Amino acid sequence: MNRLLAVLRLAMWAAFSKPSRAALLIATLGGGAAGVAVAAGVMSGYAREMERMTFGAYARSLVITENTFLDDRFGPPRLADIPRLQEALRDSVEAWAAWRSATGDVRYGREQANLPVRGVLGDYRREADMPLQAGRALTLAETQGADRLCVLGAGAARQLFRNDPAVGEAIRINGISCDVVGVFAEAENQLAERYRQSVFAPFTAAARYFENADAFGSAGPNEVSQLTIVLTPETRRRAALMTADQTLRRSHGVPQAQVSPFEYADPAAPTRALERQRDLIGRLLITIAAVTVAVALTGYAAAANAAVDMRRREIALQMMSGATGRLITAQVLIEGLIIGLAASVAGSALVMAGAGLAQTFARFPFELNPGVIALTFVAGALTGLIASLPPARRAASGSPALSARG
Amino acid sequence: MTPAHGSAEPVLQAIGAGRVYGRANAAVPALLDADLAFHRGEVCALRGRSGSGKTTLLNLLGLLDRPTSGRIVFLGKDTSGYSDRRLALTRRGALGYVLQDAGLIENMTAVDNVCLPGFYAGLSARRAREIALRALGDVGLADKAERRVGALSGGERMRVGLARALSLEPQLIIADEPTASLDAETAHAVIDRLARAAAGGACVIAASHDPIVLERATRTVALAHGRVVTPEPVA
Ligand SMILES: Nc1ncnc2c1ncn2[C@@H]1O[C@H](COP(=O)(O)OP(=O)(O)OP(=O)(O)O)[C@@H](O)[C@H]1O
Ligand SMILES: [Mg+2]
Repeated sequence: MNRLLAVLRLAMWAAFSKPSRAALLIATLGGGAAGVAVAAGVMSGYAREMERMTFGAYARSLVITENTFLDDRFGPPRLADIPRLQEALRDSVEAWAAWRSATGDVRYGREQANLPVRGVLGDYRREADMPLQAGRALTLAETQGADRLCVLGAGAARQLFRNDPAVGEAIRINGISCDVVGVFAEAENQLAERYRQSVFAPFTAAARYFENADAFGSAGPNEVSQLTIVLTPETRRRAALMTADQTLRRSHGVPQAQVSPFEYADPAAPTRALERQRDLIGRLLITIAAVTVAVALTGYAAAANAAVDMRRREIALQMMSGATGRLITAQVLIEGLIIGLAASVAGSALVMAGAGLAQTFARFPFELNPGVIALTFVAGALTGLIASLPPARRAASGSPALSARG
Repeated sequence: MTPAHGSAEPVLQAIGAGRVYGRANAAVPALLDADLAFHRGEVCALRGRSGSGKTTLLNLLGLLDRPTSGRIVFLGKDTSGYSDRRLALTRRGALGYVLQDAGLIENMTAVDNVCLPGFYAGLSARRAREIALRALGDVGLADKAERRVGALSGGERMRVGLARALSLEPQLIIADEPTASLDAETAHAVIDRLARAAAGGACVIAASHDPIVLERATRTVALAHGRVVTPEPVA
């Protein structure tokens, strides 16, 4: 125990006894550590970005809307299209929801706000996958009915109620009273952000009571502003899209030759694009990190070997004083570990500063979280340790007889 | 227990010990067939011209090197079959070395240099330091303990080396030209200190031409071309 402590002290001393050599060795290993920190930082930046974009089951959805660039001859999808699509897509349908969107003048007491009013029908929570903060969500039966009930997005609730409880209160939407049954919580993803200002009401109630005819034009009570069909994971999206389009064309009387009057959005497209980008950049950065680590390893091993050669006498004197080969090995390895840790500090600091600087020029996904720092330290310590194996062997193989020959 | 002097078991014996450096056609036979025995309380001066094999012999006697022929017996135990590790363990605390150029680690302080044998003998840092400071005080360097040895004079460095060699009160002290670079006064101080260790029961073997050392030696062994030329007095 005492001996190990002594070796630790000696290693510490040896690591920093020549500041210029220590600086060189730290710089060598620091490059590798920085490479790892950059790669890990960018990868975790992407992971975070993607987490923010996660759409869950919605990513597997076919989101059907009217193609608004065409002449308004065929109109948006209608409620009657839903059973037809279900029939045509059969086992591919995991869930579906129909939406209407309008803006309403929403009031509670003295508070007033113009908010999106969403009429929902079906399994709308699969899409707006937000946790509740208070009360309850609209049930399936309620979405099929026309009761004047609503659930508020977190932002909408804040605007109308500040911090007071909203559940059980009645708000007025375009002058019509509506009972609040629940409030959604804030959620950290883009979809939840999209809905945080919304008021959710049953589809038919929205069409019948809450839409201001002037504001929404002449939307019929059966017209759907967005139809979401969540496909089962096995379904091939392309095939489902063709089937859906054929079904809708037949139902709306649109010839195949004509451009489809419907749009089929792919909610997962941005995530997939980001994923591709991450894979590409990730591979590149991991390669670069691997190369810098390899360079650090060989560089450190060579420099430390040279240092051991320069310290042959010193090591011989330690052996003369009673050091075994093992203790000398341990000392050189611990020295590598210490330099590796110092290099991790230097490398992370460098990357932190570099990332801060780079972020001021261009936004890119980068996150230096504790996991990344830990990985950088593990990488630094490990490279220091591994690169010290050859010099440690070399040091331990020296002869104590060298002591006598200055 | 064996008595400290006289015909008791020798501390150290070289039996037909030889050392050949290099191998095959480039072989240098630096020491040939040395038969020597050393006892407690003795100060043995080792003489010989430069290149006669003094350092080579001292390395064998100090268990720093292995003979290529013959044996070295330390405290009754034949060390020829010892591994490097076993030799290192045997050296701990039992042997002290005074080197020609002091043999100090340059970037360390004097006290840290003197602490080394204590560290490897397994003493706590505090205990090793205590002992090292006492040993430094003993050679008159108490006030220079915290100096880097690179900043000390030649004589001071030699005394730091002496303190390191003696700090753990070893049974065997190997000294290679301990006074070569010293003024007469310091040389006297050094040999006094070595003689005191011998009087305390240690065995001192010193390679030297210095009359100051020779006059204090209890016995002299001469080397010429790797051979012992003074016959060992029969024990
Ligand atoms: N490592 C070695 N490899 C080859 N030859 C060596 C080695 N060490 C010493 N020698 C040779 O062995 C012989 C004896 O050397 P040694 O150092 O023992 O002499 P010495 O008596 O101590 O001399 P000096 O008084 O100059 O210190 C010399 O000829 C020397 O050149
Ligand atoms: Mg010599």
